[in-house]
Amino acid sequence: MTPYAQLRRWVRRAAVPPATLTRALVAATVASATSLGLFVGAAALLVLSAAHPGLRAVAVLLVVIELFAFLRSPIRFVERVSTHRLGFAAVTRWRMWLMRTVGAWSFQRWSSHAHGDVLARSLQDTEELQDLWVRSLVPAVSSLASLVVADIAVAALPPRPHWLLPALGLLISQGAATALGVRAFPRLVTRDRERRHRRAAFQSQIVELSHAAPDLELLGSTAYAAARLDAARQALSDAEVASERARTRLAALIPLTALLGVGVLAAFRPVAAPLWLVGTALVLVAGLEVGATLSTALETAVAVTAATERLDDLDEPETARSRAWPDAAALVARGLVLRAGPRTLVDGVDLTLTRGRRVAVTGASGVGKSWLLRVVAGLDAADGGTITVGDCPLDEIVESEVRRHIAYVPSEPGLMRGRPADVIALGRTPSRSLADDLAALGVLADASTRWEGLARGESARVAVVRALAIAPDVVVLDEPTAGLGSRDTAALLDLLARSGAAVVVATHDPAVTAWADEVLSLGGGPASS
Amino acid sequence: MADSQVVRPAGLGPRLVGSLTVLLAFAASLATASLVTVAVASRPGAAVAWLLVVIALHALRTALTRWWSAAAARRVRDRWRQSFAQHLRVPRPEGQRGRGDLLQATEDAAEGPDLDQLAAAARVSAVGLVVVALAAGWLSTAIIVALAALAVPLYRRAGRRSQTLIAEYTRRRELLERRQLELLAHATELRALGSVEYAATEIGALSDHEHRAAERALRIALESSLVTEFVSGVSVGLVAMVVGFALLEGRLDLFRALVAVLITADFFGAIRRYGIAFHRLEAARVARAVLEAPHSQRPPVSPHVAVATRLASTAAPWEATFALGAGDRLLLTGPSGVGKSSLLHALVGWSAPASGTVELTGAPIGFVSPTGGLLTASLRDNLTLGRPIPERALRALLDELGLVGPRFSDLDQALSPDGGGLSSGERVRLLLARALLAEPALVVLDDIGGVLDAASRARVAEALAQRPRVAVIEATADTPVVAPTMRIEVAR
Repeated sequence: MTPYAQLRRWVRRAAVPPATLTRALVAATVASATSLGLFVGAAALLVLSAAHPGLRAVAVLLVVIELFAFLRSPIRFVERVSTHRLGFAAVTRWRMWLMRTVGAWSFQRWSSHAHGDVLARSLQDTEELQDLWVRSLVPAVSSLASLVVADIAVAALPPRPHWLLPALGLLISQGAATALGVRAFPRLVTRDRERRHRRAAFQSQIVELSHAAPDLELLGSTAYAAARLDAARQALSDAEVASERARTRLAALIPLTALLGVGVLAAFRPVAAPLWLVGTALVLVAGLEVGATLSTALETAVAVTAATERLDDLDEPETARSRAWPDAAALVARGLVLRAGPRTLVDGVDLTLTRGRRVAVTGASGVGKSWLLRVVAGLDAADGGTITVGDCPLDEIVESEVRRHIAYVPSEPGLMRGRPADVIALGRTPSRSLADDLAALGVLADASTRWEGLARGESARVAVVRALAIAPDVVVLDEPTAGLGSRDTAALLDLLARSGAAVVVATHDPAVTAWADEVLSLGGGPASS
Repeated sequence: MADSQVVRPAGLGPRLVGSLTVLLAFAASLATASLVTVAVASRPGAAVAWLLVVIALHALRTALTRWWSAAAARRVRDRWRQSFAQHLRVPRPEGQRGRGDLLQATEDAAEGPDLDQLAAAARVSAVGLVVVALAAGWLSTAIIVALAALAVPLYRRAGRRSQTLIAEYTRRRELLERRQLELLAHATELRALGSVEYAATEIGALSDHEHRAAERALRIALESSLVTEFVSGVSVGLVAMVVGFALLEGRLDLFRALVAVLITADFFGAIRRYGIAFHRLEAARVARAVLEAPHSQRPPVSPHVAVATRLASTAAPWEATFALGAGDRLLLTGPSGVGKSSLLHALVGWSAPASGTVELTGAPIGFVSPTGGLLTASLRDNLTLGRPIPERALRALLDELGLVGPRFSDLDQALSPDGGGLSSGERVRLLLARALLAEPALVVLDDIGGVLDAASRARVAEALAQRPRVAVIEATADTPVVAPTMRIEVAR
């Protein structure tokens, strides 16, 4: 994917409201054009005053320019606020995207990212992406627009058709420079990527030496450690120089464009009116500052590609799921295989879950119980075997349908802070009485309760109520009774039984295995029915 | 030359470059004024020539700041990065080994020269006031000075108001970040419950809340940055008006009038650029503290191998006193968590002792623990650490420690990062081999017995017994490897 396509995708993902976008672009263009106009206008007015001493009209114009000067600051203010609003709107969408994306991951993918700082890093990246709007697109568009406005102003100078060609020449030279900058962008991104990779290599060298260097120093081998770090440092430094050089070449476009403009001016010999020559020459001079803004915008775009590339790595290809959950059908697993590296954890497990069926899964820790449960709940993939509902493979059923019919309770349920109704509903519409269920499990709560730090046993029971809230057909629970007393365990099993759902439960608890219709023992022992 | 004020008083470089940029900007303004003057005098050829001069001066100024800032930043970065090896001499806990703090501090410090340059430019731009006075009389200068003075109380007011708003914004932001991380950390659970969309909506709402607070803070922050904008706009306008009327009355020529207006704009331009960069100063100052944090000091050199007098670590209150000579074997025992490792760290100078003194040999010391680090390099390099040691000696030592088999047959085979694929027992013996090859006066064994099987323990004990001149300190809860000549027992 080209860097442009990548940025375009993130712009689309931001889906900023058109009104916000328009307001920001207009405000920025007005601000940019005002600065340019103020510079050219002030000089032109002075020329006018010198040319027509004593002209009262000029005095009026001077007052006008002062008004403009007063206005410049509020105009800037409006521009900054509306640009930031645009950035805010975008960042909110990107944050929501991040939640939806991570929320679509399989457990395995999630757990490989959850350790380390990938999630925290992603939050920062969505934040940094704001610059795409605030420091890149808006300044670039507004600068280009103000240049075009200036060119049109030059074309409109009297005598009328005389300035049309010089203005066209300026427009073409500016357009060509912009095109060159745009063409250079992918190369800048490549250089910047190289720099980032070197930086990562340097950092991993730091991590390694941070681990080993203390020992090496005691052994008198500090120099050896330093030499290793030095090689990575030099490589990074070289990449930084190369990246900087590419950007410097880009910045050279600005004076070159201006020189082209001078060429245009000289070629058309606009001797007609000195005043208009002044105006046009000053537009060229002001163009130098505008060019600097454009080049900064481009460099910012290069910088944010780092964030877009990292975030794009999180993206999950959407799978086409179209089928509905077949009514009154059993969930059937056939020949499930789970492997961890060369080790086969689960080899050919079969399960049939009709309503009311109770299956306990036992086995030592690390034997694959939790994984098996997540596979049954449609949250993870297996290395072999099939899961079907009626005649329909589970992974072809629309995600929201699956979630309405299968509930899953992890061994360490979280998200337990807040008002009970919110904690349990989590945006869904419960089809059971939550108060009754909580009471049945002995969790005390009323409308005024706010849960803050629930004990482990309480969290476990609330999680079960949360799972049952939408009256699912299948409930999958991972060690739900760990840490519960025998009375609470009995109440929990009773509630599960009364729900009428098929129950799969991973457990070490003999009370649970005794309650189950079927005990599936993983890790060597034969499956008993 | 790359030194910045943030590191020590600003060098000549930033001051020179800062002054030069301002002077180039003034020169460009003078050239612009000439351009306009000759154009008005109907000399288009001369006007085009002046236009070329303006462009050249502008390009020169941009190239100078760009080239110099990049070069100065590179020098600062290189200098600090070269000092990283010093920072890595003390072990750090697992989560902090990336040393993101050092990398970030280096980036912040690299901005130092540029900030100094901008500060110098802002100072030198005061020369512009004199130029304006010379060109258009003292009234224009008086206007600029008066307006700039007016800016100060406006700044103060905006600063005070922004404090409280920024606190509110920070609070909301932390709330959002915590909640976002919490929801992301439970993403699978949310998916299982079909509540991902609900979580996304909640994040959207919190994000909007945060942005409302941010906008309030932003308005105030903008107010203070707009003070410069406002004062500069009004100054330029007023100066233009003053010189305009002077022009009308024929008291001033066009060139001088233009110079006054353009230089006024340059003066405020330099101040604004410094104002925009001002907030980065604090980051550069913090960076200095991080980068200049004292490195550990190796304890004073002793004629003995190790002498500890009433030494206590910060982790535990008990004290140890011992004097180790060549060949002594000290066994430090006690239940886990009692602070044995911390005492060893204080002994070798990795942490400051809570009390007591240490003297240590100047010869190499081998510190061997199950958490010791291996390098992503060949087995040979991991053992020799760049010293010329004959293959025969390496092979003999590996055999002696029972490191045989396919993984140890090829000395030039690269180890996986951090010795991945080796068992902890193999790792520890490899670390011990590395230590013994450095011909140490002292070997510290930090709880290695637990990761070695009985046969390996015997081999390690035998290898140490074969080196009677090497002193050994071993800390363990209950699986000693060496035969001690001295003992310290710590009770809980």
